[in-house]
Amino acid sequence: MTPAVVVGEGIAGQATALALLAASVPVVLLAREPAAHAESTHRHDGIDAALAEDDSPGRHLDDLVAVAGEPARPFLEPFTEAAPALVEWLERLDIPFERTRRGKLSLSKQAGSTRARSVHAGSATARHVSRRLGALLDKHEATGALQRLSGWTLIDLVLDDSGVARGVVAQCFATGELRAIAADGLCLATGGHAGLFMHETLAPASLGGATGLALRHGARVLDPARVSSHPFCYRAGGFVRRLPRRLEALGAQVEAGLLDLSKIDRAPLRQAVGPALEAHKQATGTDAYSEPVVVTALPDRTLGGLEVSADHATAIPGVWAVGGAISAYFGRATFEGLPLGAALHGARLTAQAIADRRGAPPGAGVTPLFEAAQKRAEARLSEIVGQEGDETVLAVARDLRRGAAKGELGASLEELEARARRARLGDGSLCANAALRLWWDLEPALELGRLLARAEGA
Amino acid sequence: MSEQVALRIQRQDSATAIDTRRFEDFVLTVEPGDSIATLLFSLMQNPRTADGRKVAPVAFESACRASGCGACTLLINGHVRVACRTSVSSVRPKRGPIVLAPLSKFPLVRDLIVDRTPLALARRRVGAWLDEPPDGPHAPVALSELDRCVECGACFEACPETGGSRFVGAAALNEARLAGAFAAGAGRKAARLDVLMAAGGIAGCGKARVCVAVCPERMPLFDSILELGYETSRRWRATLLRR
Repeated sequence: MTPAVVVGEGIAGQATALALLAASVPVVLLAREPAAHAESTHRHDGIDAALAEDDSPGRHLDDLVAVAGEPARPFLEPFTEAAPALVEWLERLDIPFERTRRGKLSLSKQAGSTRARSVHAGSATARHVSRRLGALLDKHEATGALQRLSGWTLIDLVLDDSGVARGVVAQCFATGELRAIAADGLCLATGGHAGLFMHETLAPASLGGATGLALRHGARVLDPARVSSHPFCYRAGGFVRRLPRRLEALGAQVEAGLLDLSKIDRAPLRQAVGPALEAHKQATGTDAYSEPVVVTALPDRTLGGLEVSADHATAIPGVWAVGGAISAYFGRATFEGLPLGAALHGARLTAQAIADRRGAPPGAGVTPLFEAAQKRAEARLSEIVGQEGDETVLAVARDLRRGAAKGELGASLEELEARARRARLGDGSLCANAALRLWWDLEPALELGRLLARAEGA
Repeated sequence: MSEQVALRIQRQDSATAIDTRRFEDFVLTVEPGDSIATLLFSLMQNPRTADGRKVAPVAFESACRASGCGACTLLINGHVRVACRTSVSSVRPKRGPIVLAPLSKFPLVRDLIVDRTPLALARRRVGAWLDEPPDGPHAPVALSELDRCVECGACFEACPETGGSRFVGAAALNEARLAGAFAAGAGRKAARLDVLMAAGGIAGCGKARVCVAVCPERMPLFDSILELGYETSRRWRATLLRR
C-alpha cells in the first residue's frame, strides 16, 4: 500500500501521522528536524477549551471570532466544540497540567478572553504534548507502519498530468541523497513562514519554502503578510528569545519597554514560568524575579498561510495542510491558547479526509513521473552547486528577510531573484550542507515574496 | 566591549572520510553575552581560519537558538554542553583556545554534527513507547520534572558505561520508567521490566550519576534509575515465586 506522506514533525505533523496510523494508513513522516527540535515543541503556549462551569463552546467561539473575524468561524466552531474532549484526551495521556488543590484542572484567563479557559503544563505544555505524541508514534515505528525520515528537506512536489499530487522529492541533509517518494495523500505540516519577518536575528523559523512550493504548484495563500507579534521578546547573544505570553495572565505589564515581575508572587510565577525565567537569567545575567527586564514586541507567528477547505484540503488535489502552515483558524489575530489546540484538532480532520479520499489509482506512468522528478531535482542541484557568484545564499536570505519585515519587497524582489540565481553555496560538499538546505527554503520562499510584494502595492 | 577569542574546532568532511579529521583554528570577535552558538553562527558568515585560509563552513546543528531544545549539544573543552546555553565567558580558558568537538559516542555526520539515532534505538529497545490511553479519568502522575527530555544526548555522551557496552543509557531508562507510570504505557510495564533485567539494561548503570550533572534540563535522572532498580527487583522476586 502506498503510504501517506506527512511533511513536518512538529506537533501538527506528529498528530496527523498518529491519526492516520490509527485509521490504518501507513505513513512516511518526513521532517527537516526531529520532533524534539521542532519550532512548535519549544513554544510556551497552553491550550484553550471551554472547561469551566460558566463557560461553553459557544462563548469560546464568540471570543475567538471577535478577534479573528467572521471568515474563521466555520473552522473555529467545530474546534471549540471539540476542544474540551481534546484536553480530556491529553489528560488521559498524563500531560502534567497544573491543577487546583482539589485536583481539578487549573484554568487561567487570557487577555481578551471573557472566561478562564487556558490549561498549561508550566511553560512546556507543547513539549509534553509532543513527547507524548512521539511515544505513541514510536509504537507504530516499531511495527513498521510508520517510517520516519528525520533530517530530510522537502524540495519539490510531484504532480501527475491531471494535477494530482502523487509524491514528493526530498533530500537527506546528512548524506545529500535525493529521493522521490510516492504518496497516496500528502499533508504539509511545515509551519508558518515567520522566518521571513525576523530580520533582526538569524531566524530559527522557516522562510516558508514548503508554502512557496505549494503556491508554485497551484495552492492559494491568504494574507501572507499577516503576523502576530510576541510582546515579551528579549535579545541575548545575538538571538531573539521569548518569555511566556502567559505572564500577561499572571498580571505582568510592560512599561516603557521594561517588564517588571517583582510585584508578582514568586511561587505561582516559578510554577508557571520558572524554567523560562531561568533560561533568561542564564542568557542575560538578569534575575527577572526581582529586576525589571528589557523586552520588545517582535513578530513571531504568521497568521496568513495556505488556504484550505473545511477538511483541510488545499487547492492542489491530493495535498492537505495543517497547523501553522494554514491561515484558517487565525484570521486577523489569535489567542495564545489557540494554535496548539487547533493543530491537534486540525490533524484529526486532515487525517480523516486523507483516509477517506485515499486510493488514487496506481495508474500507468507514475514510475516515469518519479524518475522525471528525480532527474529534474538532480539537474537543479548541479546547477545550484555550480553557481559561482560573489555573494552567498546567506546574504540573499538576509536581504529577503529585511525586505519582508520592512514591507519593501516590491522594490527589491526582482533583484533578489536575480541574486539568488547567482549566489554561491560557499560549500562544495553535499554532506550536511546548511547553505544548500537554506537554498531549498529560499528559492520557493521568493515566490511567497512575490505575493507579499503584490500585497504591499494593494 | 568586544574582544577576540580563539576557537579550535575538530573537523571531518563526512562520516567515512576519516583521513580528513583535523583541527582548525579560528579567531572571532565576541560581544558580552555571546554564547558558543553565537560564535558558530558568526563563523558561518565568514569561514576563515586564524591564518587567513578560506575554508568550508563548519557544519553544526542548531534548531531553536534559545535554550528550548538540545540540537546544538557538543563537546566544549571536552565537556558536554548545549552551545546556545553556554556563554563564551564561562568556558574561556585562561590560556589557549576554546576547543569544540562533536559528541563522541554517536556516529559522526560531518564536523560537529552527529547522528542521534542511537537515542531513539535505545528508547525502542526498552519498549518506551505508549499505546492509546484507556478510557476514563485516572489519578494524575506527578513526574513532570522528569518529563522534559530534549533529546540532546548529553547523558548518553557523559555516561562512563555507554558506548562500548550495550547499556541503553539514562535517557532511555527514564523514558521506560515514565512509560510504566503513564496510563497509556502501564499495560506493558512487566514486559518492559523484563527487558530492563537483561544485558544492557538497568544493571549496566555504574551509579556514577554523571547523567544528572550534565542534563541541561536538570532532570533528576538517577531517581528514575533507582525507581527502576526497585521495580525490577520486585519483578524478579515475583517471577521466582511463580516458578
